[in-house]
Amino acid sequence: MLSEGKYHPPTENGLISVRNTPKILTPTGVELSGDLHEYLDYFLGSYHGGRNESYIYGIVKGEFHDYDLPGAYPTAMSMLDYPN
Amino acid sequence: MYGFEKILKSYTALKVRFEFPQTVKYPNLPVRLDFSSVIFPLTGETFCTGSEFLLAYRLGCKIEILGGVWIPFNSIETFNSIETIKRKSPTNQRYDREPLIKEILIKVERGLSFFDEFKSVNSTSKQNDNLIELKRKLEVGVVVEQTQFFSVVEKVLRERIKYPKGSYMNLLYKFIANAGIGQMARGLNQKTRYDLRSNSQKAIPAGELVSPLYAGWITSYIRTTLSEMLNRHGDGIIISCTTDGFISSKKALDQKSIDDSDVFSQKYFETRRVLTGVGALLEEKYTEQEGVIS
Repeated sequence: MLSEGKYHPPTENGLISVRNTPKILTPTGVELSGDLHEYLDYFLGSYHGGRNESYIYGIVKGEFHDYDLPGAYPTAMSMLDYPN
Repeated sequence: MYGFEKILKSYTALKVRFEFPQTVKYPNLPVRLDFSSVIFPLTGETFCTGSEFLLAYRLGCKIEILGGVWIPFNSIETFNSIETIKRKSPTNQRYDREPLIKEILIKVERGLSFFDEFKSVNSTSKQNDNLIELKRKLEVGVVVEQTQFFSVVEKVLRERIKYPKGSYMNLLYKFIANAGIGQMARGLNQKTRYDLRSNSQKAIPAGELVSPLYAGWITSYIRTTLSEMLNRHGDGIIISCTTDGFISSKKALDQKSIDDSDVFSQKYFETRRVLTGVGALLEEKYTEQEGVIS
């Protein structure tokens, strides 16, 4: 591989990047992406958006409270670090 | 706890087959049903992240790992050294821990943006303030502030809280913080949008910041924290949940309504406290007296 010996984040290998996801799933892309192709599907598969569900349908009488996590996504982002 | 931290502080993606006990009211593993729906069933097969795996395990789920990837955080060694030192520490007193903090700072080499700040701390009173602030951060056990991500988020959130809630500037900083995360996920799903120039639907291109590792970690941590709280407060009536919140019949829920076993909520609360100076887990946005239509 051309990229051997150089550091690249896990989202790219010097030849191809996760920004070109459709390109990775081509004969050329699979061959050039090396390890990236092997583990990228796990990360793409495990990406889901927010949890949105209704547990009760219809009219429910009584007192209810609407709670939320303040600054949820920025707070979670602050816990990130670069991949090793 | 070592294994827990090792999985949480990493980019872990697993393919799993799972089965929750029938007693779990709010299972936390997401399963895609079709192109637009994600459900959270008791049994199934799915891809999940490290935090989702950890909560599922804590909820008593039987998990068979079919495959996966584990990429540790850059600072995993830092985390571990701090965890080890903290356990040895005989006291939790705020200012008696200075030697301990110095020891930590010497050991930490990577990702420590405030190290230089610490070294020159005795010259001015402003820098001494910084030292006190640094001590406070280390005391609460949240070491994530060593990362560049933390510094950026902290700056934006601290600016945001200078302005009253609902004001233009407050909303602008909220938007800036959320936009960064949006860019990490932009283009991952090949979604389309209407393009006025060509009068057609075009795929949204990936941005410079796009990363399924970052985007997946962030969204899964919030789903996990939310799922943990749903299970904690499942004895009341929960009408619905929406990404970062839920509607419940239970009154006055906050950090006091969780305990030490709710690790994701605890970490969220502690991180929030360090980020903004004010700890908060849940914020009550609205109370409805009569009832709801769902």
